[in-house]
Amino acid sequence: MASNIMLTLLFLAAVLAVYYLSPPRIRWGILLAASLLFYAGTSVWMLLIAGTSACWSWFAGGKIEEIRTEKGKRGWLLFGILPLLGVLFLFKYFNFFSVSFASLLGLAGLAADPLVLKLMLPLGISYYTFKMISYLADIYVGKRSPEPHMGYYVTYILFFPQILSGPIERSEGFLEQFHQGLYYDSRLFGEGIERIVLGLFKKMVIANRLSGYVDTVFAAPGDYPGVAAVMAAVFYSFQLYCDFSGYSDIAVGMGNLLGIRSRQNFRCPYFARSIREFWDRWHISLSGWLRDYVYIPLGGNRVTQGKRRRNVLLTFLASGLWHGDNWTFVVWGAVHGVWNLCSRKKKGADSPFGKIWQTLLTFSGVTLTWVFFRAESLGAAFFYLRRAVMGFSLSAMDIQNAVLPFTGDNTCAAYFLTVCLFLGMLFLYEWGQVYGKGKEQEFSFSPLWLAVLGGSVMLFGVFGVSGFLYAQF
Amino acid sequence: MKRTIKILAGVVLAVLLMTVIKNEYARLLPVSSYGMQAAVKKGTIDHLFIGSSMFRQGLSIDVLEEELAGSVYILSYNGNQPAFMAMELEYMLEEGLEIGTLYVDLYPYTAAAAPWISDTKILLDTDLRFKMDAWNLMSSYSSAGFSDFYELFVTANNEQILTYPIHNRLVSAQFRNGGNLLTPGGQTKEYLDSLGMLGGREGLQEAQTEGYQRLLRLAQEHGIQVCFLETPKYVRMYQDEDYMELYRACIQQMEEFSGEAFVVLAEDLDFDRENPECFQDLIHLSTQGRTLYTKLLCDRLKQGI
Repeated sequence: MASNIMLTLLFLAAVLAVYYLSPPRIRWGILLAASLLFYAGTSVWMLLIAGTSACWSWFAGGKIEEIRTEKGKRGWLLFGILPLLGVLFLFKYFNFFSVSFASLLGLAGLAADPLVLKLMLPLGISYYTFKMISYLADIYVGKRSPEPHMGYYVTYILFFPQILSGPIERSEGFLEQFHQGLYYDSRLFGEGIERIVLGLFKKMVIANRLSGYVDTVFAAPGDYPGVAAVMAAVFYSFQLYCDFSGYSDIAVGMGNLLGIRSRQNFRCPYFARSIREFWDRWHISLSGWLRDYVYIPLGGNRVTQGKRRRNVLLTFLASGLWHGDNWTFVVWGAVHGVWNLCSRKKKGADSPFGKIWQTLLTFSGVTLTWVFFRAESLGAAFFYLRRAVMGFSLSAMDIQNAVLPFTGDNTCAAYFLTVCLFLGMLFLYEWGQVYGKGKEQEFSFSPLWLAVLGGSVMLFGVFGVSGFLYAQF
Repeated sequence: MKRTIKILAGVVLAVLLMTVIKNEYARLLPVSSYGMQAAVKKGTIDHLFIGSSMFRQGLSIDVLEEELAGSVYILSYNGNQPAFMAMELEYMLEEGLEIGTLYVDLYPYTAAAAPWISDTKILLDTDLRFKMDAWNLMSSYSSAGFSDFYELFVTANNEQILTYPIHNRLVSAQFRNGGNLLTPGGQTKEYLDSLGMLGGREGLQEAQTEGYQRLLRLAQEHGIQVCFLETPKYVRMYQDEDYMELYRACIQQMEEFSGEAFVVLAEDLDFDRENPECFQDLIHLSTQGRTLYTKLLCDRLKQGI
């Protein structure tokens, strides 16, 4: 899905045909075969790593249940998790820590060449590793029993719509559906199509349209006026959201077409009125995972105030590191952690003006931190922010030069206006989701919305940009 | 589910219909101050310059209107190639445009490229038949596939149409009679020396040389005088073997047309191709360069072609 969404949808269409022509009892096998084929299409050795990890975690899960003593259970939990974390560390973090350690030695006057491994990061490793860890941890705490059917479990881990960029689906809700039987559900099928249309709109019409502008300005902020740096930062916020939540919508929608329900991964996060509310709405499957498997095991809220703060900070640092092997992500996580500690969830009794102000303030803060998320290095992030502040003016020439990077020619104004129009449409849709009566609880489009979004994808989709931003994490 | 499928099927039909309407009738939108439709609306043009961004950046409409007798129009599209210039000329003649003298951009790189429309404004200015002919030409010389077809026929120019009242006003303010009114400054020698060259090509393309021939044939049929113009490039271009190879091939091609067309090369004029202030980059002139070059060109043209 990361490389070509249209090919993935064609692949899905072929899978659907075989899937629904087969009897329900063997449909899990069709899904497993499709998932293996899909992942092997990206790389066979990556499939070997993912497949071996899945089989190992299934085996370890059984052992945790089988052993009677607490010490033995804990031993098997660690024995099960450590190889998974080891593989993740080796592929994703080894070079980061090696280079950082060498730099540290260099600061101490001990020059050392860092050991750098030339390994390609297996696609989706952060996602499927977290799924396996939560499975093992849930068995250990008695939240669930081991999955008796290895095929079901491996299908859950390698489930092709979700393996590359999540959501990090929990095993209990997902595997339960396999045991209940994978049947065609007309309503769920329709919902799946609608979700895919919404995802395509976010990805093709908004995120892809913004990517060229954002890449151009972030690559050389010094070449553009400060107002362009501000615009690119704001547009990056929307690009990242539309790209990732678009992917999640498509992934969940594809699951729906196969008769599988998944949890929502985003709930209009830019309508949040505090950073804590933002994290209740952004990448819900990851923030929920970090809460349940990092924050709570560290002690959660049931500790002293000092320890609680430490736990919050550690959880956000883990979140930063999960996103990438760069100090920019660590700083991004730390800033969110500190901000979270200083913040309170807003109650609903404020005036409309107060709500708008809080929402804008939260959005501005989140946008500021995304600069660290997007920048190549800390130095680049600070340079970018300095450019945005020191070079800011609203002269006609600066505004003209700020819009130009959209296309580099005289169609830039049309592109800019079109982007604004579609962002306005998304705002209206999400406004209805957040402030409409009980709308956040259910997913449904009016026929008009479906027609407008579908038509926009066909007429305004930017199909040349492939890949999803969150697939790199 | 049925409701969803019905709505989406309706959307597909509506998009198909809108696509056909756009490709046939978008050209009828109120014209701007540049492009084919604005030229056709004039009815008669004494001096029509047809070319790529070399003409857009390289010719001053102020100087041309001051120096040349009669009406002047610059028709320029980014990367406009000889094969498409011929099609554009034919289209405008069929639409009833009368032309006195035709000046054609002689830029070796466009003559060496496989046929492709790089400026979608061409599609906004023409009817469905033109687009189908253009597509047939492009697909016969390249491996253009469905995604290219979709981009050219379905998604191209939709932003401009959606925002037409604002976009057209903004862009039209940048042109008069097709001439660029923006005033880009020149560069420093250091900057121009730091730019990468444009690389080599495998000689002139058959479709493009046929385009030149078709232009001449059309001109002959309609009694139009033809003059090929090479706008000045920065001195580094003339030191680049890749460029010079194509340049020589173009000159050779022009020699075959001797008697049918007049040719004015940059080297025929007393233009300082080493002055960095006359250039925005290696191939495009600055406002200063544009004004100087156009004056020299008009002096040359006044001597008779």
